[in-house]
Order: sequence, then C-alpha cells, then structure tokens
Amino acid sequence: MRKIALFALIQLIFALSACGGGGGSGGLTGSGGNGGNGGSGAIAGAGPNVATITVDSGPTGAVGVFNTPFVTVTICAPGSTTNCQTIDHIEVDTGSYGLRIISSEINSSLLSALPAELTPGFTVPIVECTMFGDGYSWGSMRTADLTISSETAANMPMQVIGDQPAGNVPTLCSSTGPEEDTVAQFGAKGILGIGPFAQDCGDICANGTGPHFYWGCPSSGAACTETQVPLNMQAVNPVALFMTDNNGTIVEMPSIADAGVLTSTGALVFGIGTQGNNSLGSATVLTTDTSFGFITISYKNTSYPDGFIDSGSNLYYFNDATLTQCTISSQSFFCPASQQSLTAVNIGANNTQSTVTFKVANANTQFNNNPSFEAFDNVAAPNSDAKGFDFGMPFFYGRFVYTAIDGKNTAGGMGPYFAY
Amino acid sequence: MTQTRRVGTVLGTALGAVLLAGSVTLPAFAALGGDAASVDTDAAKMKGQARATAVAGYTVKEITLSSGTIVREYVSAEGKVFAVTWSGMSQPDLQQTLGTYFEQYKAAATAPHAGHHHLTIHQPELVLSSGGHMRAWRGKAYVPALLPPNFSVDDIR
Repeated sequence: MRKIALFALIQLIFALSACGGGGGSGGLTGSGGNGGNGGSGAIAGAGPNVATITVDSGPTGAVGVFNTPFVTVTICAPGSTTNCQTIDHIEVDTGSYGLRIISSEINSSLLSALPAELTPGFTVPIVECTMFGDGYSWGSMRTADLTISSETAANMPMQVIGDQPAGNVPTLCSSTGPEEDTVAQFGAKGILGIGPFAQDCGDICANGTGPHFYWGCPSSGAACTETQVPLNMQAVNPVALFMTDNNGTIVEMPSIADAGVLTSTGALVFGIGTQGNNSLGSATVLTTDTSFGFITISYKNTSYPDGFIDSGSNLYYFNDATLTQCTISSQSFFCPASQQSLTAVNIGANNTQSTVTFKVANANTQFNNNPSFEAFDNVAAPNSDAKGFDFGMPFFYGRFVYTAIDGKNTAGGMGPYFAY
Repeated sequence: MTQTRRVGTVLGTALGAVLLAGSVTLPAFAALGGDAASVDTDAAKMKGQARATAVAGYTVKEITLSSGTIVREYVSAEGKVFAVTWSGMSQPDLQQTLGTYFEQYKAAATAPHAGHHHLTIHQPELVLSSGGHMRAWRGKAYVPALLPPNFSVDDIR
C-alpha cells in the first residue's frame, strides 16, 4: 500500500526525534545568520510581552512535523480565572488569522463553558470552514479569554476545531480536501494566526456570503447555511485585541547550522516599538497590499507579485527551473547537487527594496543525514503559484521578522507590513 | 498567438476551438481527466462566468465561481481536461475540479507532511500542488499521461 509506505518513510525521516542526538538548538543570537541579513542582536528574554517559541517534533500524535514554530497559550471561560487551561504546541502562523484549537485538547468543563457565537438575528451557532492549502478544518466559533505570556484578549472569537456532529459539513467545505480536525490530522494542538490583518475574512464575510467561510448550523441538526458574520465576531488575530502591544509581533529565531538542528528555540514578542524589547531598530519595512498581504519578490530577473513571508510554511516555496527537483514520499522538493546560495529582492508596496540571500540545499540529503532534526534553514520546494514566492520558516532563522497589523500604527508606519 | 473572448458555449474541442459569443448558458465544466465534449451535465455544479482561450494544441477555459475563485481548465485537442488551476480566497470544489482524482488527492494530502500552507503530490498518475496563505490560495494539477505532445507544464499557470 502506497499510503502505508508513505507513512512509514516519513516516520523514518521525521519522527525519530526520540532517538536523536547530535542536534541541539542553534546559537543564542539572531544577528547575522541567515544570509547575513536582518537580525537585531539578542533574542528577547523572558518578559510580559514575550512567549517562547519552540521548533520541535510537535505534540504526541503528530507525524511528519518539522520547521513548525510552537507556543503555549492559556484560554479561560469568559470572565473566569479558574475555568482555564494551558495548551502547548500551538503553531505560530504569520500567514493566517485567528486562534483555532482542536476540541479534543480542551477539557470538557472548559469546552462547555466557551459560549458559541450565534448568527446575527437568527440565534443559530456559527461554524467555520477554515480552508488551508492541504485541507480544511471545521468547527464552531466560540468566545474565550486568552492569555499568552502576560498579554490578554477578553471575549475573543476563536474556533474550536472538530466539535461538530459527524455529517454536518457542507459540501462546499468538504469538497475542498481532506478534513483536518484532530491533532494527528492537524499536526498541532491548534494554530495562532498572527498575520498582517485582524480578521481571517474581513469585509467580504461581514457584508455578504460567498467565500464559504462561515456557516449557521442549527442545533436541530438541520443543514448548515452560509452566513455573513460581522467583523467583530470573525476569527481574529488575537494581538489586535490586546490592551497593549497590539500593533504587531516579532518572531525572533536564532541562526542554525547548515545541517539543521534537532530543535530551535526563539521568541514571539508582542508589540512593535511599544516596549524596551521590541523596537523596530534598523529593520526594513516592506508594506503589503491591503487585501492579501503580498509583497513583490524579484528573483533571477522575474518579478513574483504573490510574495510573502510566512512562519506557517515549512519550506521556501518558489519556482526555478534550474534547480533539480526530487520526490520524497510522493512530495516534491528541490534537491540541488550542492547547497545553492541565492539572492532575491523583496519589494514592498511602499517601493522599499531589500536584497536577501538564502540557501537551498538538497532536501533529500538534509532529511536523510539527520532524520531526527526538526529545523532546517535551507530546504525548499516548487510553488503551486506561478506568480508566487513564499519565504517560509527557513527565512526566519537568524532573523527578527516583524509583522504589523493592518490599520495599526507603529514607529515604522501603519500596517500591514513585514519588516526584518 | 492567443485569442480571448467572452463566450456562452464552447463548441468543439479541436485545435483552435470554435467560440460562439452571444448565447447565455452556464459554462461547461469538466473534471480533470474528463471528457470536455460530454460535460454539460456538470454545468450546474460550479456556476460562474466562463471564457475560453484557444492556444495551439489546446484550449484554456476560465471559470469564475460565485466565491470569486477562478478555475482554469486545460483541454487537449482530443477533448480531455489534462490540467486545472485554481486561484482565490476560497478553495474551489475540488471534488468537481479533480473528478476521479479527488480521492487520490485526499489520500495523498492525508499522508504526513508539515504545515498547512502547501501540499505537493508527485505521483505517476497525478501531479498536484496547492498552497499559499489565508485569503489567497493557489493550486494546479495535471495528469502526465494526458499532456499534449510538446506541452510544457510551465505553461500551466
């Protein structure tokens, strides 16, 4: 069976971290590092606006995880200081919006105390179809009080993934791919979307239906119907709701060795220029468009308008016909004979340009040489979008990557922008 | 040289497909690997506006779905859909778009892989990549055995 062979091989490649050794996290500073760009000195130490990021093999039950940054969050029933739970292995994603947690990871007393959001005027529970590149997650919209480090967001809309009765997924959702509603399917206990916008959908879902994001699903079990949802009830970038430090984030990761490392530890810092530990410094600000979060990336004399910087992409994803491709477990990667040092120019909507260098090694060799390693700064794959260029998680090692939220002011100007 | 017209019905699938403007019908829609000449029964499945572009050796049909997502079908001179692409805020109905390859896609997508923003499948029967970030998803898929002679997969975009 192909699937079993796939599973076994990927387990062999990625999931033997318990047998690891020879790894260890990278250096303690973010300076220099990945191509010699970015970096702002020491990674933030503990503080009220700092959460520790860990790149590791993921929660128990997850298979095939690598280059995935995780943090720990605490959620409470709204208004409660006792009906709370701290949950680890929440993926940090600068390419999505909103907190989403797998229902099986939330204890029953807390889960039952998280109020369901209801459709305006119809009092029907709102359920979201969250579409990803590899499938969808289906679950109800609730409100919760969130704490990360010492930052809090009260009565915050969030999604509880996988809490719905079997069989109520609308076809327009289930037809988009496989369901990812368990830790094993999702590869994390949840996801923290902190990209450059506040809501996951925005005005389109507030003013009408069409994108198939939000559905009203009657408790009677009757079929779900697509519904519009006001902005303040949509899944929200929690940072936008913080009392302070609410204009954006910094993902700070150390440089890592070319061979990769077993695990890597960095920091998720809240706020840009709001505290002594989150100044913009000399980082280059690249504003994005205000709809999709794109910058333009120029690479080998071709301009890619669908460019972005994304901690939720575990590789670099771009297209280059001169780089040898290989197939590992039926998945495509770049596998050049020797490590390539490449250059791109990142161009903001503000026309600011920033030249970056990055490395692409032979992914097959990287994975085979150190099957237990979880962090690589030089693995890449072709991009599904001919106009796309995605600086994924490998870009973050050795850099401080700032993400400013749309409409929020910072010392570097208004979001949305990326800076590093 | 390409020619682009807004059309109501796509007639014929031979080289330099015949495009008739004027009549208003739902666009014909075929699944990957399907026969473009017998797809009218699928027309209602994914409503939208369609236009077609004839290129030497194949035709590209572009369908804008009600969600705003754009699906393009690449139809060979033999009338087979050999490639599809999609682009939009929402994923399209991939069960309809990929047809008999949907289950293969799902099985491969279910295999362990890292992250949620990209997926690549490279199998003898199906090559598919899907990815992007929230608010902007892109994908493409093709059936190697159905590619027209001398066709470059780089032209699937």
